[in-house]
Amino acid sequence: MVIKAIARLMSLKDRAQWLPFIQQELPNRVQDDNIIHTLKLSYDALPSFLKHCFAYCSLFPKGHKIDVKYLIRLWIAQGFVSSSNSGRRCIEVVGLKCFESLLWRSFFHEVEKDRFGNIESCKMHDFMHDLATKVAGFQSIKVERGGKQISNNMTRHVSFDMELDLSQQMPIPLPFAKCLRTLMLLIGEWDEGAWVSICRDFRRLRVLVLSDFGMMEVSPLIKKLKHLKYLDLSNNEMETLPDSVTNLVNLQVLKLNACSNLKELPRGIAKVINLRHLDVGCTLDDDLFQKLRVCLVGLGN
Amino acid sequence: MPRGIGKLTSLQTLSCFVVARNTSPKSKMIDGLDELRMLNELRGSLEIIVKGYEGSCISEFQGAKLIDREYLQSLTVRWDPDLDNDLNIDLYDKMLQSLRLNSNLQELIVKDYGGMRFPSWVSNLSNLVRIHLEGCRRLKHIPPLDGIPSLKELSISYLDDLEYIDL
Repeated sequence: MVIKAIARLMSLKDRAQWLPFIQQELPNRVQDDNIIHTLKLSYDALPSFLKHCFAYCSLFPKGHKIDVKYLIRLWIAQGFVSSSNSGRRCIEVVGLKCFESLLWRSFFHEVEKDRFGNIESCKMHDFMHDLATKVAGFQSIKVERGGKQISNNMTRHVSFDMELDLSQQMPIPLPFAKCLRTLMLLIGEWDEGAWVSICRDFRRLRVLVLSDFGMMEVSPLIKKLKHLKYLDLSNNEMETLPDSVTNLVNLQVLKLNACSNLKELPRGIAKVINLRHLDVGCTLDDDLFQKLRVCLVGLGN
Repeated sequence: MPRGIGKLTSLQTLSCFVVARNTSPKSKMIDGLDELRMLNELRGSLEIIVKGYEGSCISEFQGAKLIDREYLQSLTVRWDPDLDNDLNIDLYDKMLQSLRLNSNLQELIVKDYGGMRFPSWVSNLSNLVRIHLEGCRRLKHIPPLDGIPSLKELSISYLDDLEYIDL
């Protein structure tokens, strides 16, 4: 992987730059025997928007199978990918180009495609994940048991890769919470009280992921998160969404896959005019069709 | 679907659309399939689930203008099997017939369709790679597929009345 990453990096340089690169830059990084330092050569050569895209991936657990479509939507929600210099191409296509560019430089691997040849998922090598964590610094933090705490007001993106007891106070102190743009809670036991603190303290969130919590209700307070662009409530138990969701006019992505109790969408969904991806995931297996029928009657009625 | 989904003209992903019948006053809040007509950005996969229908469905299916949805890769149309009865065969035929599709479509899945005829438009979907027909129990024959050079997979199951496939 390292050889490939360095070879790809060199192929982007003029031949005139090869010699100084091989004689100076490369040996400097290789000599201390730290592979991350060598890989960082490739990172250092990235344009800044791709640096952001890559560093953001440190939020995923190591070895995680990343859904590429949603990764691109996360980048867009954070403003790392913009359509300003893309002409008339849609921003998701620009995002895909960013992904392909990072893939070509070996920042991702193990790409899987769907039956139409669309890139579906990828993984990150552990060394690349270490590099992402290193370059993300305080900007993006993945909190693990016994690991880093949120204690810096430079932190913008946080994921929790540990079981959280949400009946206790959110483990992010207010001055830091209000600066956050991303909050991903990946596992844990849901407590309705958590909505109050999330909607009160995390006012600047662009991305909120509360997937797979067995959540029974979504609080109407959610309208307070008015900058929200990406809301993932997949794999939960709620039957409805509060009408106040329709006040989230900046929302681009609403992910509700595998919410098998969901009966209807809010009436005023047409108000969410920036919505680009409404994923209610109906493609269940046939043996689940009985359940599907029950769950979708409300979508029509 | 709730009224107004057709106003979300930036929508690229709409994983499913539920068609229901207008039976109660409350159902004035429901929209027909023609809501899709303005959703020019739709792409990827779409599943249409018919949970209720009436005569007006035919014009709504036509009004969906799926023929203009050039980025759609996969379309599934499935009917609630409980709706099926011998009186509606003609309506099924007309519903599917009026659902004209764009020739860029790569995958077509039809489940629990109660009509006797399969629309001839399928022969024009020259980019189809996969056709899956399931539980279409009155279907007697499948139109010629020899004009679909990209077709790799034709799977049929529970087509109890199928007599022949044109080749």
